[in-house]
Amino acid sequence: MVPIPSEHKAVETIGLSKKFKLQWRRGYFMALEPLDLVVKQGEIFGLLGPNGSGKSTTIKLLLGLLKPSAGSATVFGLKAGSIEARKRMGFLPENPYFPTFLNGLEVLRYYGKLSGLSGKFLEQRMEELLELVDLQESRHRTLKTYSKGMLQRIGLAQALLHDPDLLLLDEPTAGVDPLGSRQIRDILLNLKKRGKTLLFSSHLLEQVQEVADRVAILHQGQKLREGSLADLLEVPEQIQIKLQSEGHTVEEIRKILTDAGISQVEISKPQMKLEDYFIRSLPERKQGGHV
Amino acid sequence: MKGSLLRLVTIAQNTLTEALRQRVLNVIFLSGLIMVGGSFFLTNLTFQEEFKFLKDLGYAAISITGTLVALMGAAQLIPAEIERRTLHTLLSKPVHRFEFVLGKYLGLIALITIMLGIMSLMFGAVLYVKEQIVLAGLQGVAESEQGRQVIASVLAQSRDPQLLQALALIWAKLAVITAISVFFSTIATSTIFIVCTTLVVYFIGHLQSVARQVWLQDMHTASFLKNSFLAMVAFLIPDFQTYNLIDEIIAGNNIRWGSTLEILTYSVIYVGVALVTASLIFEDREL
Amino acid sequence: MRPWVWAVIVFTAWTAVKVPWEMRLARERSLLMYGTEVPMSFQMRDQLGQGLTIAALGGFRGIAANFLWLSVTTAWEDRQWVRLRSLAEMVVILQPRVSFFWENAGWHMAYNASVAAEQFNQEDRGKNNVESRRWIMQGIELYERGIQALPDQHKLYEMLALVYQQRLGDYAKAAHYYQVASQKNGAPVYLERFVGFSLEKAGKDREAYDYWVKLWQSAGEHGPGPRRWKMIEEHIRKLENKLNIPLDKRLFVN
Repeated sequence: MVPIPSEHKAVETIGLSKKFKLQWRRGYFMALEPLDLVVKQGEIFGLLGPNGSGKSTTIKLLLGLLKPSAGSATVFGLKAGSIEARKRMGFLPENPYFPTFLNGLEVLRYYGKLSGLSGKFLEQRMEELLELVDLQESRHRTLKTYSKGMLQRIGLAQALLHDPDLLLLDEPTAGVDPLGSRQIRDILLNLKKRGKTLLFSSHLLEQVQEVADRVAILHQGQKLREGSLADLLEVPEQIQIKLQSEGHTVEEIRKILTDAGISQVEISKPQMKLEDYFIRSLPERKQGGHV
Repeated sequence: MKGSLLRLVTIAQNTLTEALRQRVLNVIFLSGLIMVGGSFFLTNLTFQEEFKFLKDLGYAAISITGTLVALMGAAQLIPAEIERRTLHTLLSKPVHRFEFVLGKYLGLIALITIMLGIMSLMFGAVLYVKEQIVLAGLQGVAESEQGRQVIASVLAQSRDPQLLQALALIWAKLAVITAISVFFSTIATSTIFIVCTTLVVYFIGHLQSVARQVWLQDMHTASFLKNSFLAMVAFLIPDFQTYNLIDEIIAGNNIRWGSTLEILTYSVIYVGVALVTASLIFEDREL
Repeated sequence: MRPWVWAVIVFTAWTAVKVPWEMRLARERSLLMYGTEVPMSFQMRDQLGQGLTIAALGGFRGIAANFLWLSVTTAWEDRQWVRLRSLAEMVVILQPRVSFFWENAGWHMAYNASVAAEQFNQEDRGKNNVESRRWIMQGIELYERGIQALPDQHKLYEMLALVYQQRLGDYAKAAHYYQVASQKNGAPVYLERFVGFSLEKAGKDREAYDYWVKLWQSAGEHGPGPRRWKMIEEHIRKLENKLNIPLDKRLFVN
């Protein structure tokens, strides 16, 4: 593999590991085995794995919410968790809970001020983001009345306020219905287009497949695989042909293939993904809004 | 530095907003107001009794309400941030952890100051109305020397400027309690645990002076265990008896502003130490 | 260094200051509250249990005292003097610095209880007098203890003088206490005249005369006002005649 120049690395971890002390009895629980990972600038990187595989731990280590037991992590060359690093990062927590006593606008203003923004600039930025996540109409409602998808979107807006170069997303679509989920996915792809780096965790493989350039698969604190999705998912020794055709042409192809001595030939109609089907079945309407 | 101040104010403001929109704290505050107002309806007393009883009740109401808010405020708001993981979002911003601890504290102090202010105004109004009623009853004797004495003693009781000192002392005591509560919230996550430990400190704090004297006197004869326990109490826990000057003020005895200011200084330093310690511990905490 | 090490350092530095400071504050407080540097709990070492209760009541001592005081008033209405005495005792232990409690507790003893005692026994009036006097002495004792707790206020001295004057007919003692009372800050001016009246009543004409003269000379102006110089002048004239003061030494010749 060609080494990545360090100025192109958004995130780099070297031997990063975390063990937790177990209460009551002695011993440790390895939440993350030494992890080497590089996320390149401008890519969408997915951390895949079931619950308890170390995805959240990794993200918390990158944010400085946890202190590593060993190893190190850097974000754009800065020590992970440092104030300087955090200035360039945005974070969407899992099942984001925000101060529910505030309304959408107040939440954004609160986090904006904490990010060091203020005045007209902040108000303008809030406006832009409300539009981006399609929540302009719900800005005066308290978060108590928001649906899960809306919370996730206000969470995204909050993470983007200070225009960070790196976005960390912990299970961004968990518990969100397909429509909301698709909305979020579109926003993420849009962000990538604008040159942002995205690192997200998920246990929903299908959704990862749709957006991630590269993924790492974690299991019980260990990294099992890492690579681009195309490389990882390619089935060697098989070729897939899709045709916009019906009738005898198909039979002819089969004949040619059989004659050529290829024994395993499978011909079927390609299936739509249920998600696509579901979304196509919905009546024509403005997507988003009050999901 | 300026950014840090801005973040402190932002967190404090948010804490205040949250507290003001919380039902529990509002209920406590309302019942406090009712207690202060209700003290007006003490009847069947001589006017000397009346003013003393009124002040005792008024200050007790203010102090109980304030203590409850101080106890509940930190114990509710800080663990909630951790549990709901809003703290994760907050700390993903360029915010120092000590700014969170300090900001929370300042927000709570703002809350307590506002509540104290409102209750004091109410209390002042009650005193004033009572005074007018008593004075109206004394109109017949206003000419004689004895009568003038009586009227002077009524005014001395109802318009004693020292009552402001008493308020300052209550405020200082509440500031210390809040700091202790914030301290415990940075090491624990359970509201009940925080309330209980803070309450224990509150009660021991009222006995601290006794423990300190016993420790200093019997240091050479007492057992090691007893010595270490008493020393711990003397070293760690504030001496809440210090604030008993409030009693003196209500009794109408002279307390210099100097003494009050010294106690305020003591409180501010205690608060400072508690918050610095809390911040340092919180710095190390895994969230 | 680990943050918690810093935490320990900060706290240790503070404790080095904290304990001496608190002791100073406690000394000052006890000086203020009890007029002595000896801390409260040492005075009450034998009653440590009591001390602890008082301490534990914290800021709510006043309220506890108030409620007990309401029972004192009930006891008075029910003419239960012994109960009244013990309730009053608890009140003044709880709040020794509230003048009002001493004033009224003493008054209940020296007046209400002792007057009631005069009618305790229909047959043996001598016994009644003994009983009545016992209650008066109880009142005096309360006033004296109150004076110890509040040495700077005139009120309790005045009440003590009043008991000696009205209940025991001891005008010499009354004069003494009126004089002490009149010298306290904020004492009403009539007290200075009461000293002279009491001395005259005690039959100490010479002392009374000296007192009046000294009082007269202590002021430059003798116009109308609350000090009632006209009245004092009359007393001086009367005594000058009575004592046959030589004309050249009199204050008022004609």
